[in-house]
Amino acid sequence: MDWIERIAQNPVAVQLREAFGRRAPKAIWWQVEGARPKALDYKIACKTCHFVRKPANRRVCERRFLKALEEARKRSAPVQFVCPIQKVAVCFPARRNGQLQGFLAMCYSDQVLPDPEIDLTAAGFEAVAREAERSEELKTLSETIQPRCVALSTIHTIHRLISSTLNLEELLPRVARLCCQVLRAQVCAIWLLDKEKKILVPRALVNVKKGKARPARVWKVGAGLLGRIASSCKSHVSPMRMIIPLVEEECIGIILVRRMEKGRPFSALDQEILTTLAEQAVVAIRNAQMYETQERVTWGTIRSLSAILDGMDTNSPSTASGRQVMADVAMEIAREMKIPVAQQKSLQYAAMLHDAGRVGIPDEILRKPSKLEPAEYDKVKQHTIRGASLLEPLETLEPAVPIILYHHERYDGTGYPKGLKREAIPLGARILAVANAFEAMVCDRPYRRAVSVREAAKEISSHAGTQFDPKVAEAFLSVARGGKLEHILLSRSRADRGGR
Amino acid sequence: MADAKESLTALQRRILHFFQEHPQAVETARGIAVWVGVEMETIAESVQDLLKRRWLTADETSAVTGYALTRDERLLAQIQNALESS
Repeated sequence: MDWIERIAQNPVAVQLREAFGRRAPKAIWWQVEGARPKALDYKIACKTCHFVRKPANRRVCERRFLKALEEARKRSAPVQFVCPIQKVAVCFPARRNGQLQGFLAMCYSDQVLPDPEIDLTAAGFEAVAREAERSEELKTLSETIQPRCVALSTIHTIHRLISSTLNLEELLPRVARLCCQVLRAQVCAIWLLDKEKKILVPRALVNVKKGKARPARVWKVGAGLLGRIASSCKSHVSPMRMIIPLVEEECIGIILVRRMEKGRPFSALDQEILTTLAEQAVVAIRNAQMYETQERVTWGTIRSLSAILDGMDTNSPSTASGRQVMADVAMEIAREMKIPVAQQKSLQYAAMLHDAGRVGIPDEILRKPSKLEPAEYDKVKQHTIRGASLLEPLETLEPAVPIILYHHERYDGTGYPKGLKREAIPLGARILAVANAFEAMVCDRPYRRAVSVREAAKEISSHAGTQFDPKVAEAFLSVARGGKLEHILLSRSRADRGGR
Repeated sequence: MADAKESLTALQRRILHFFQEHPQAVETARGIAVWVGVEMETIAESVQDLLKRRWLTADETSAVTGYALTRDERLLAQIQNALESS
């Protein structure tokens, strides 16, 4: 809709025209486009005015009308004039941002219109024009700013999404997926640099159309396009493909996005967005890599501690291998119960160090073949507290400490050290209690033979609700039904044989 | 899966219009609520229904969930039909 029509159709302008119509019941309204119109459109006027139905008369009328419009343009104000058939007409200039755009005009009035009324109407039309200008400005502003705000908000959401995971296997496909979404790309692939081998290893590949894409290949640094990008740290951008190095002081990988052949080519803004995403991805990847290194160090330390415990506590019924069985079983139960990964790790650490507190219990008690006296048993029961206080100073093990402390609690409240009941016992400790009992039953002890997995499972099932949390016992039985327990025992037994 | 032919609520139409206008957007529920001009509490049910229809996708972490428009052309056509017919 052009400017003059927009002003004319505005509800306030319609009211103004109707008010004018009270003085001129047969009023003809004109919408004249352009500051210096050369001709008028007589389609509407012909319906009312007999004079202009003849082309020769129309030219007479038009000359007079255009002269008045020119006068209104020069004066920048409404002009009232008398037409060749002695009817009165008024033309109102219509401006947009100070520039004359055309005129609203009225004719066929039988009486001269009072100036104050004309001025009031002109002021009304000007107010309508100003309102239209403002609404146009707002629209332009919204059309310009909103996409940028949405893009900014999207970048922020992506930042939150990729910085809230420390697992590379989860992170890299997520970055690839998000790049495809934000850049409307068909393919996104990520390679990470293996510094020792000087190769780029494909780590994530997303193809929106095909779902699963053909695996990407390994590139030697310095060789081929990707290899050269890795060595030069310079981006490569073509209309349908962008390859950006992931740089943190030096190149740590490459990210590639591709659009379909027939699609819209990538713009400079797209490159800007990919560069921003790559910068965010670098930080997230480095954090995840550092976390993985730290996890490996922690796990190595825990395994070493577990081996040291074996050497110190020769009377312990559990060996490092047995603890590993416990850890594996506990992890299977945790996975079955869909426990968060971070909690699974704490459970694994706790399983490996659950009997650390046995160090320090007098040998004569641990070696005693007969039933322990109450006082002796009290000392044995202290091992959970001692183990917890021994490991408490290690910050990495902080979430594992309550599991170690309470893994001898029983679901019915008859366990130790505190006699906690049901959900008051930490979930990890309830899981470890089941894994501990299973390991004790299926692994040989100097004083008794191991029982079968089936018998052990039956035993655990019979104590669900008393010694064990029924939900944990059910998860354990589900793991048992899946045949995973035999697999754990078999792989441990192979590892033991291999170690000898 | 919710029936694709089921009519859309006014709020769902606004959400879909937002994503159609900004197909590259990845937004949280709070962000969507801001863009469509409603309180965040009122948006969850509509978003869940659109997820069930697979018209929106969700990228979820323990800290945040990002919603985006599907890239599946068949589903995009379904969205277009639903917006035109309802």
